[in-house]
Amino acid sequence: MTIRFFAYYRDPEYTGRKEMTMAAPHTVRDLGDALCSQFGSPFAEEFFNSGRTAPGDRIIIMINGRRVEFLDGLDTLLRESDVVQLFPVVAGG
Amino acid sequence: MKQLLIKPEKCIGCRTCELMCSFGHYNQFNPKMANVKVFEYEQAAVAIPVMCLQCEEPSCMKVCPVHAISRDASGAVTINYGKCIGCKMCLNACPLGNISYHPAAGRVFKCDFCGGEPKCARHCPTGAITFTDTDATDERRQAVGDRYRDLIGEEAAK
Amino acid sequence: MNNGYIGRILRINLKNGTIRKEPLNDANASQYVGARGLGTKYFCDECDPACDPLGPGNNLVIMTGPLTGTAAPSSGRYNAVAKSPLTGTIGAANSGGHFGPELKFAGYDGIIFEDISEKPVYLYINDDEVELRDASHLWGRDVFDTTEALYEECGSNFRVACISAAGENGVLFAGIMNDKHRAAGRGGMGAVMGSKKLKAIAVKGTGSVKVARPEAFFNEIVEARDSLRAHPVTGAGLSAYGTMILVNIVNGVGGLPVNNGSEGSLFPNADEISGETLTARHLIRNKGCFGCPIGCGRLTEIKAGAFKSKGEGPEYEAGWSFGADCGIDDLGAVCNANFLCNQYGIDPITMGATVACAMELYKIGAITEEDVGFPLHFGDAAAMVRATEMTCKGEGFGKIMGLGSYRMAEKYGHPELSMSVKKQEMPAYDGRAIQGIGLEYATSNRGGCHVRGYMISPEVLGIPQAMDPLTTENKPAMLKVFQDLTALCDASGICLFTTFGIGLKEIAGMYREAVGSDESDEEILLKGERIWNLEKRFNIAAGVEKDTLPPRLLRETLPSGPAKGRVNELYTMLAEYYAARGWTKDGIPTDNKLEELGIK
Repeated sequence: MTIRFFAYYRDPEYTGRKEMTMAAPHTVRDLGDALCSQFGSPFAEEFFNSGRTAPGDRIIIMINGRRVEFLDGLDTLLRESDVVQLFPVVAGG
Repeated sequence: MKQLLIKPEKCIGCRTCELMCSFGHYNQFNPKMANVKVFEYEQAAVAIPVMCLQCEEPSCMKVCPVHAISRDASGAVTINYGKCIGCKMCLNACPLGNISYHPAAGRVFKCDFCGGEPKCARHCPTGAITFTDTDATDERRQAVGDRYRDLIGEEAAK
Repeated sequence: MNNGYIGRILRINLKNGTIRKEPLNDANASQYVGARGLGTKYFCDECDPACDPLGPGNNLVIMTGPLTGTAAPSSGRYNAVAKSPLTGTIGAANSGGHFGPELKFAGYDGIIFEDISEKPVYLYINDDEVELRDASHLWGRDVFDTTEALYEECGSNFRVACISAAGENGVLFAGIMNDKHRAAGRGGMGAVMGSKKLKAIAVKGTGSVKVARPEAFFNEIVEARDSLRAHPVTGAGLSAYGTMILVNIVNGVGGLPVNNGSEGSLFPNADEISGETLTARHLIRNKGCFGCPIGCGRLTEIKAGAFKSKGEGPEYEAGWSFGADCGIDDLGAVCNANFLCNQYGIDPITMGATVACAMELYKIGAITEEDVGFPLHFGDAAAMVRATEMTCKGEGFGKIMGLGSYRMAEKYGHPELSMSVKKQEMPAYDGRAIQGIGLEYATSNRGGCHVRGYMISPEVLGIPQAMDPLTTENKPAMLKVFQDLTALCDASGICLFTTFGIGLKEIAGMYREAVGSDESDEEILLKGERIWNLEKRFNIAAGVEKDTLPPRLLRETLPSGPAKGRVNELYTMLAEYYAARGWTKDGIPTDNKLEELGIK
């Protein structure tokens, strides 16, 4: 499975990565746990909301171009062929 | 003792400081009535806010014929408008041009630290102007130290 | 005056050379706020909707808002209003920088230019001293050169808005450029200015902007500014990466049109033209417009190679139009083309999209190397920059591109290949992948445009809450609110980008304390709706075509990405939208609606 990071998530203090691959965890929640433990703070404060019921306020999690809010949220199942994109909330125009 | 420190590398040239200053002193928005002015250097690609540096030996204070200028508790060199006669000698005496006059204000004016909490620093969106203890310059000094560390550290690692 | 307004405007008759200072129409100001709203009201009261946009009957109105020049966040805005020569709709283009506030400091809320001058002139404003001055020596010169010349002539502390030869020669998407790099960009306001033989406005002022309730106003602006600084978008992302930060996320949802939209909307090399890459490789420093805590502007430089150049931008829309839309992933070329647009004062959205359209015409053989002067393949960065330069300078095929993609494509028998609405090019979001933005393009009062109700906020960015881009539910009602709020924001004199971090409550709060009103948030939002309906009424009277989208968006399905197989479901949304507006099913404001809003 491919994971892509954008904007300041690429900065060294967050992940220092543009892209990485890993064996697909079972769900998005499992993916979050894996990434949070790998990268620690401050990235670990981004992924989940306080009750771990949804993504955090400052992150956009997309699986194959779809926000997880429009899939099964953190329970969305992952497959090896998935591309996960992680954006901090951004705007422009 | 605190002072206004500028970090031009952070200044985006938005002039919020000018607006906040004029509003803080006159309840109106007018960059020409501000004690701070931002200079934009297009070719060099920098913007630099300039305001009174509160000299240790202020020419304005020395030249004032009615002793209207003094240093207050916050360290700012301020004008006592009860005494000021509007002769503008201070404006001419300041070697740095940091005293101004505007007809709508009807008086000379300069940075007074807003009585101890300068609004330019409080509202600067990028931290290009800060009101900090004078020992905050250690932060810059440390940047020099950091460069030596990087250089010598690299050498030592070889 | 002590209510945000100066209370005075300038009326310049360019034919007679008369200059009048007249009181601001307070009643209209209270109904239509300022800038885009009040400018449009002045325009509509004085001009025939059927007027020739490049003729003497089309006034050019420059108008600020009550918050312009205050310390409200991002308060550097003014609007240029006239009938658009590109679309035939009401044209209202908005710009930041420092020019608008300076006009107020000089003592004027706005300027109305009437008729046409015999010879080139510029308007000189130094507080009360206002003169029309000869501009023969400036005619034909570009924006940077003209601005520098006026700094020399008037003083380096003047603020200048001007046009280049593109505006003089009637490039239909020439904008008005102020402070060199900031643009009232869309819809050809620069061409209107050029048609009047008005080269520039140079202004300097020493006066003040005062508000009705200073203490309460100050509390409102501090709260708004602090909210913007604390917000992750306006306080961090937008400042750090500029608007180009959108490239990856819009591509992420499969909504970044590629090759004039003919290849869908998933660009494999998007990261090459992204805000991340621009920041890492080319950023010199951030720049903020007047009073702006966000500072999305950037000074950038391409240090070496064929596209060596330096300037401001590019913004996201230009990054896309010269990038993905032309199949180009060379950020140097994108920047270079964008800098040319600034130097010559033309709209980079329409410019890039017109090059993309020409590339598709070339691909299908509707135009040839003989027409263009060189091959014009998708992906050819050098050809894209050359085509842009030719349009800027009005050379050869550039003269045809200077008419915009619709007139160009129509001339070669393929108007359907123009990705435009009401003859203005749609910007950088595919309405097939993002349904609500399609409805926004179709219903925008100035033709294809993203800043008339930015549905990307909820549909892609999740602001203020996430809406699924693939569905149509609730989009019409949401769009109506966005359009009205945007009109209010534009009219107030602050930048639309503030609305990523603050909303109606804060904007209405600042407005109330500035003008000294006790109206509710809802009553203030109603002014936005009033502006929208006034614009729409003008467009109908001007005979503008009905609300629709290019056939590509309605019939050609997307080939790949998350929205694969989809088209825009415009006609599912349009009836509901008209109903939400209280208009007829054909999209005409009813007499009842106009009366309810007090539009006369």
